[in-house]
Amino acid sequence: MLFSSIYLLSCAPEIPEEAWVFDTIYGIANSDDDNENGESDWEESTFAEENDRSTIIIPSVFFENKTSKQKLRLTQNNENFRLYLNGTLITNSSGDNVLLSLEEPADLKIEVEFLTYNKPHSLTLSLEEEGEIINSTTIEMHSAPILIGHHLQPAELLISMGYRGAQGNQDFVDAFADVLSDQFIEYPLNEYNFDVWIQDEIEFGILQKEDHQTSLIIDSIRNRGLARLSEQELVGTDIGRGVWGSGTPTSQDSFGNLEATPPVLVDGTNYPFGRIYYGKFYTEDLAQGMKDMLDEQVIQSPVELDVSFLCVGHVDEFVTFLPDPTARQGFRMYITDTEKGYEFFSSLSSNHQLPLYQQEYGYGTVGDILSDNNLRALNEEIQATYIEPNIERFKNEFGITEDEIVRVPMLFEEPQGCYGATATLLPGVVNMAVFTHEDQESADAFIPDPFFRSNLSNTSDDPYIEMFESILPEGVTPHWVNDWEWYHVQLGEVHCGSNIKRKAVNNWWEK
Amino acid sequence: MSFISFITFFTCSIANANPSIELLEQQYPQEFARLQTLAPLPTRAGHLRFIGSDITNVQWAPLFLNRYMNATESTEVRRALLDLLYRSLGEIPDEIISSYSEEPDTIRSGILEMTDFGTIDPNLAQKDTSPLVRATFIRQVAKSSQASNSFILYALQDNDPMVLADAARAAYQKECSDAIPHLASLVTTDNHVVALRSLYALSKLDLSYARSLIQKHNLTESANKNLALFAKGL
Repeated sequence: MLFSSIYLLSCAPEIPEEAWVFDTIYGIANSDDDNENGESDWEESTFAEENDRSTIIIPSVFFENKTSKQKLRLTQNNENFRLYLNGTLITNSSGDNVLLSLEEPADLKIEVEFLTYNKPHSLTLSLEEEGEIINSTTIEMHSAPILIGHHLQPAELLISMGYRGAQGNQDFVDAFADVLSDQFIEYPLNEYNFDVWIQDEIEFGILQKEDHQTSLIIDSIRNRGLARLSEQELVGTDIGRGVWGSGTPTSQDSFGNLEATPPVLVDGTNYPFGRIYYGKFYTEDLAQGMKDMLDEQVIQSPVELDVSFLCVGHVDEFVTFLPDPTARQGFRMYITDTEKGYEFFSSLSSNHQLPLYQQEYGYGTVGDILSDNNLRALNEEIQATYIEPNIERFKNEFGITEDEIVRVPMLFEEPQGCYGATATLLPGVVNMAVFTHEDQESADAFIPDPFFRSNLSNTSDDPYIEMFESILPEGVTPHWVNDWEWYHVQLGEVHCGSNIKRKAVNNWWEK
Repeated sequence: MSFISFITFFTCSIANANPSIELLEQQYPQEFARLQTLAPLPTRAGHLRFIGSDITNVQWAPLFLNRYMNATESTEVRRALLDLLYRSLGEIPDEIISSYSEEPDTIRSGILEMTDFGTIDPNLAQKDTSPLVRATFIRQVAKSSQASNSFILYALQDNDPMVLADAARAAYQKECSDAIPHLASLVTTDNHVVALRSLYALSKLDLSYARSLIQKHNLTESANKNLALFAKGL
């Protein structure tokens, strides 16, 4: 034993100790389809367009300083990643190993392809002589978590479904097209069984590594008319797809019921990508497989809210976030408030005419709304048992303070066919699409037009619009979108009929 | 594929024996053809509903009534037709009410939702085999000044959480203080909606008693987070 130790010391390789220290390698799951051939890239061999693999550099000193008898070996320590050398697969599963050699000493570039989300992986690099390990190191690696976008992240693209035939929804899609031009894509509604609820079918997850980001479409098990959309229209270069959960879908499996706050600090714990929140309706909530996946990402630590008062039962129906650089954490939370609703309506003339509300709800004037005692009782109950407790939960579990909260006047009613559950009486203005700009401080907000006026074509003469614009942050530009017929009375709003792809600006590995 | 061709799979045979329907077909042949096969679209919640303000014009009601009465339409479409007729006419036609008992539960529930208390025999509705119908009946009771509170007390002994939740709401809306013992027993039930609504109802009917129950059952520490937070605020 003494003899062998002396031997090792005297013949130790001249590879400096600092060369054996490798930074952790961060990477993203290669689930997109860079060559757009309909197959996820992780199911394919190397091709020219591939851009999602991470790189490990084995410095030239390893090859320059090792003796001819010494061998450099790289061993894969666990499953679900692969190593490539010059595009050729060299290891694929735990225990696979390969001897590294170069004819001329140089840095050796090895590519890593991850097949996981938010998992640690590792390699062992060892120097051997005559079957004995002289030195070795572990190279730590970590695959990126799936990040759910929040409203302080810059938006890159807004998508929606359009039908421009007779009685179509062209007003709705034109509102996006006019403002966003080539940052907006409209897909043909008539090819997707007139399913307008694109927010519910998919969620754009974000995968991020140092030099590259991709989107991962989380495809809901909801599977209504839009079930084929992601595969037919969206998956491709830098956009992948995955499905989590199984079984009979409920409304809570839709992704209007999956949102994230902006970055928050909660009791000293920093959430640089915010926290995920989703709703539970009675005993129905997100499919277990989906909940498990979200939990496994850890970084956005999900919170479940009680949305049993809502017919559709999605969190986007009553709360949202807007960038506001004047606020403590750079945003404000906008939440529906029925007490504020009655306060606001009481400030108006009771004779204020509401032709659209007459037609849909039988309320011809503000006075008709105010005098409906059942409606008032219902809204008082919702405020006390759902809105206020959920506000408390946002304070306790998301670290949001009262001065960051904007209470938005709103009332709820019981629509036909909802078995006593509710939806907003006015188009739910918090259920808006927030297209955040690069500065992360301003945004275009596409907000449902409340039509709280007699002259339906004149938004400048609408007291609700005037009120709401007065409580918006300065950097948020409102665009009032007609969503009444195709969306509002169908129990959804602008947010529900649109979807936004965002990009991450913080680095998850620097948490 | 056009909107119209998309909807044609919901074809139905219209028996044009009704003179008012024949007249509609003669006067507005194109629109008649469209509406004859017009399909409702899924709301965000999933149930079907007809969209388009033009179709609620009362002149089309005979056509939609004919479609409703025609047994070839699915229950979901007929439920949407019921809603459309109600929006057009402001009431439910007698033909529909007279066939109430023969209809599936979603239709029975819809008819109750769109009619006033007493239009459908209350004793029949409160003992319906479907909890959907019993819950809808209790909501109808809550909105009626004529309905007796005995229906609420009956519903508070139901075994379905939806019925219990709506009965709790009806209890405070109709100021039914006889419901207090029932509500008190429900604040600790496993169903979080029933427990929350029951505590809210108690707070409206007898605040000091509600507070004593909060203390007795330590409801501020309940795993039912909304219940605990509501209890803390009382």
